[in-house]
This record gives sequence, C-alpha cells and structure tokens, in this order.
Amino acid sequence: MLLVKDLVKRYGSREALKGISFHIEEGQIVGLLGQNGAGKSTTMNIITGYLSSTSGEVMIQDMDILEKPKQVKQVLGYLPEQLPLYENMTVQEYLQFVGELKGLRRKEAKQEAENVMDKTNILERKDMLIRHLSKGYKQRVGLAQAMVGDPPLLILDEPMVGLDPNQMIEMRELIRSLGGTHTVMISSHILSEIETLCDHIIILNEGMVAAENETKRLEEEHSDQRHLHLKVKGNKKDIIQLLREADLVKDFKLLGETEKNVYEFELLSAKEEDIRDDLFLLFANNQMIVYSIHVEQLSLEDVFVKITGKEEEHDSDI
Amino acid sequence: MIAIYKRELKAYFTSMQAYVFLALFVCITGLFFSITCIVYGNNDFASFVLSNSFYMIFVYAIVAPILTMRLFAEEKKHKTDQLLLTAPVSVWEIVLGKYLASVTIFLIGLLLISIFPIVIACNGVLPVANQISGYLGMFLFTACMLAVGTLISSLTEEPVISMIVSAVVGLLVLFFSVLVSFLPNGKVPTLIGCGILVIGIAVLFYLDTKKISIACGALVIGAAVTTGLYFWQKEWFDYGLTTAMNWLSIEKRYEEFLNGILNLSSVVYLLTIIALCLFLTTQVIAKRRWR
Repeated sequence: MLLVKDLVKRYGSREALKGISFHIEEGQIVGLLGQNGAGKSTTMNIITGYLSSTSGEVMIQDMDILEKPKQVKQVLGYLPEQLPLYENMTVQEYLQFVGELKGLRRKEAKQEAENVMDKTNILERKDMLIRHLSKGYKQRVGLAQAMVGDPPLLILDEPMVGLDPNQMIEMRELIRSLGGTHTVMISSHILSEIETLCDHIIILNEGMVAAENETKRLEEEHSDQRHLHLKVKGNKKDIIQLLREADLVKDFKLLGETEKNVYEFELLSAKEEDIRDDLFLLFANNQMIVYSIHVEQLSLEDVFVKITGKEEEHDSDI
Repeated sequence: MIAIYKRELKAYFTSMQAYVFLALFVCITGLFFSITCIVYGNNDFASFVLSNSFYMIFVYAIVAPILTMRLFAEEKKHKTDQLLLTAPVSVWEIVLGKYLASVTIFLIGLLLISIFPIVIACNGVLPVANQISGYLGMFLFTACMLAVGTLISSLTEEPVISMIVSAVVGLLVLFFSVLVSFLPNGKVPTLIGCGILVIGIAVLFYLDTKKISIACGALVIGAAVTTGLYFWQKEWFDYGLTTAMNWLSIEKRYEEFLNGILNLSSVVYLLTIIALCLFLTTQVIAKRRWR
C-alpha cells in the first residue's frame, strides 16, 4: 500500500530525514513514534504531498506522488497535527466542501458529509460553527474530513491531542474499526494508545528509522534476557544464601514477601543466554519450590526510551 | 476549482469583507458622483469620476487590497493550506478559484455603481460608448491589481501586511508615469537601465536554479544583446528608458480606456500581467513545498 524509500529532507543545512525507508501493508494500523523533531510530521507531510522530499521516493498503491499527485491524493486522507479547519463554516458546510474538493458532486458530497459525521459521532453538532466547537469536537471534525470519500489510506498526525479520556476511548474504537478495510498510519505521543491500537510500529530517531517491527515482536526484541523476576517458596535465609553462591546470578534484589514464605526477587543474570532452566533446577535440587520465573518484559514505553535514549548517548559520545 | 471558488465567495460574505468592500466602494463612488456629476453637472461619468486621481487612490490603495489581503495569507496562518495542498486539486486550480472569487466580488461592486450612469441617462444625455470603454478599462485594471494582490498575499502570513504592501504597490502603479517623468533621458541612463534589467534577470535565474553558470550565461547574453542593439539602433537609446517605462505603465493603458480608446494591445497587455501574476503565485506556493 505505502512504500517509502531512502527519503531525505533537508531544511537548509539541517537534515530532518536521513534516508528513511519502510513499507506498510494494506489493512495495517501502523504507529509512527519518535521524540519531538524526530521527523514524524515531516515524513507525513511528504507522504501526503504537502512537502517535497530532497531525495527518495514515496509510492502509494504503486503510484509515485511526484508523478501522479492527483491520483495519489485521491486515495489518501490526512489529518495534520494543526487542524486545517475553516472556523467560520459550519461542520456540515466544511465537510461538504472537503467532499467537493475531493471531486464529489454536490449531492454526493452532502451525503458523504452525513456519513462521516455519523461515523465520528458529530451529527448533533452539524449546524454549529466550527469556531464554537470544543477541542475534542474539532479533533473529530478533523478526523471526519480525512475520512471524507472513504480513502483507503489514512494518515493521522496526533489524532488524540486534546481529547478527554472518554473521547480518547471513542476515537480509539473508531480508528480500530477502520483497520482491516483501511490502512492507517498514526503518530502520537501517547504510547499506551499506540500500543493498544497498532499492529506495527516504526520508531524514528534523529531522522532515521531506529526500529521497525510488529508491536509484540518489538517489545520482545528489546526485552533484556538478563533481567529476571523470580518467585520462590522457602526459607528466606536459605534462598539468599543459594543466590549468593550461584554462579548464574551476578546480582539480585529482594522485592518482598508476596505470600507466606514466598519471596520475590529481581535478578541480574551473569550469563548472556537464558538461565531459567538452570535456575529452576538449582532451587528444585535444594528442595525449594519456584512459583514463577520470567524475563522482564518491556512495555512500548520502555522500548521507546531504550531506543531513543541509546541513540542520544551514542550521539553524545561522538 | 469550483469548490474553492464557491467557498471563497461564501467566505467573503461570512467574514464581512465583501460588505466592507462594497459599502466603501459604492459610498466613495457615490460621493465623487455627487460632486462631479450632480454639483458640477458633468454627464461623462467614466471620464470625470472613474479617472479622478483621488478616486483612483481611494479605490486602488484602500478598497481593492481588502479583497486580496487574506486570500493566501490567512490560509498559511491558520494552516488550512494543508487541506488544499493535500487535496486532489492542482495549485493552478487553487489560485484560480481564489482569484476568480475576488474578481466576482469586484464585479458585484461594478454592477452596483452602474446605477450612477443610469441616473445620468435618465436625466440627460449619457455618452454610452465612453461608459462602456471606461467600465471595461476599470474591470481589466482592477482585475490586474487583484492579481498583484493575490501574488502579494501568497508571500506573507499576515493579512494586514498583505493589505499594506498591496496598497503601496497600488500607489506605485498609479503614480508610475509621474515617477517615470523624473527619470533622465539619454543614452547613458538607458544603458544603465538595461544593465539593471540584465543583472536583475541574472539574479532571478540564480535564485531559481542556484547555478552560477546559468546566471553568468544570462548576464553575458543580456550584455551582448544590449551592446548589439546599441550599435544597431543608437537612436533607440536617446529616449529608450522613458519610452520603455511608459509602455510598461499599466496606468497609462487604463487611461486610454477611460478616454474612450479601445486598444487591443492594452487588453492583451493587461491580461498578460494578470496571467503572469497568477503564474508567479502558483510558483510561490509550489516553491514553498521545496523549502
């Protein structure tokens, strides 16, 4: 559906994008993450044809945006970070205008405006001037304009900004319902939203793709095999003694007693490889019962901090 | 393009701009009509009102910039240009839709002030041919000024700045022939004028291509053409500067219409200026994508 290849964007001497490449399959919901200034909005602006790249190519449904801009723009809907709303128009007028702008006839545009207002739950505000709407409603009107004409590719830059928790849930459900039939690319600072919504993540850092994978795989990929959580039943002194003497463990910390005689520990493995089997046998041989033992699972937020933080350290070393 | 045209037209009325423009335009015209035609008894509305210097200053330096001030400046300021530029419409369609909306509002004003010659016709003798020529001239000249205003609006994010610059440019256009009369005549001033023109073109080439070789090439060709012309037709250079400037003057062309002269070359010239300004506007907007 969308192919981005070696995309470079220079603003004067500053290189905002340093040759990013990725592709998105049809029907995927993809999250574009990155710190401020990482190049998320620039990437989206280039994909939608608002900005031109210095070099590289963007192909949407096998069409180059520079060669066939009209056809490409016909198949995409864009919600920019700063909402492109004409405040002195009513919601109905505005969405009808967007429909006509996308080539629909007057009657079709009116019908399409009704459809998207229904989907985004703003029908009751259709005769209100946009300037009189709350931030949440404006955000929904912004999403509605991107959905006009039912484009198969939706690019949404920070769609959750300014929404209250209930509106966020509604917006999340709406975007989720679009998945499968539509390809959606979302950028957001709210990582938990991205984690629950997206099946694929692209992390940008300093104008480069720092990581790209399915959400679950990305979390597993960056999970640290050396950090373990252990719950074991036995005498506290004996357990500590065993952990001190074991070659497998470099360091450990007692987190507390979760049940009677059941202690939880955080361990740092002395080896690179998985030590869970050896650890289990060690306690079993000493007549102690292991309740649980698992590798520390990173959340998307941890992965994001790990990736972007590491790059920063790397940069500062240079 | 029709969608943009319709939205823009509607925006003129929802933002009060159209009402302010029409009210000022009709009131000022009515005031000049009352003084020159009713008090002094002149029957040629086009020659005595439309060509009045004070009237022209009011219309082109104060009233007309109101129509173009927010065409592109406000879109950029409120980021609504993102909607237009990511929609399946070309930059040409955007520019033309907006420009035609401003011309339409002016046409409404022009229709409203038609009442004044009709009043003369009902109460006396009206030189009809002169009025038609004057109205056509005013329409073309204003369409030209609106195209200039559209271009200026695309260069800034502030509608007020756009209005002020359009007003200053309007004044310069109106007083162009007065300014030209201060220019010296003779071979040396004409050669200096040609030199400035050639350097200007070379600089434009450089700004557009960022290639010094192309700019130098333009400079060399320009210098060669000027030298060739000088040795071929020396007498052209005696009054060359003022003659060329007067030929370029938009206001001189407008005066011809107001004096009842329908000159095809003037119509073509004014239409060319409109096309050039609109083309430059599309280039300014397209260029912004490459920043």
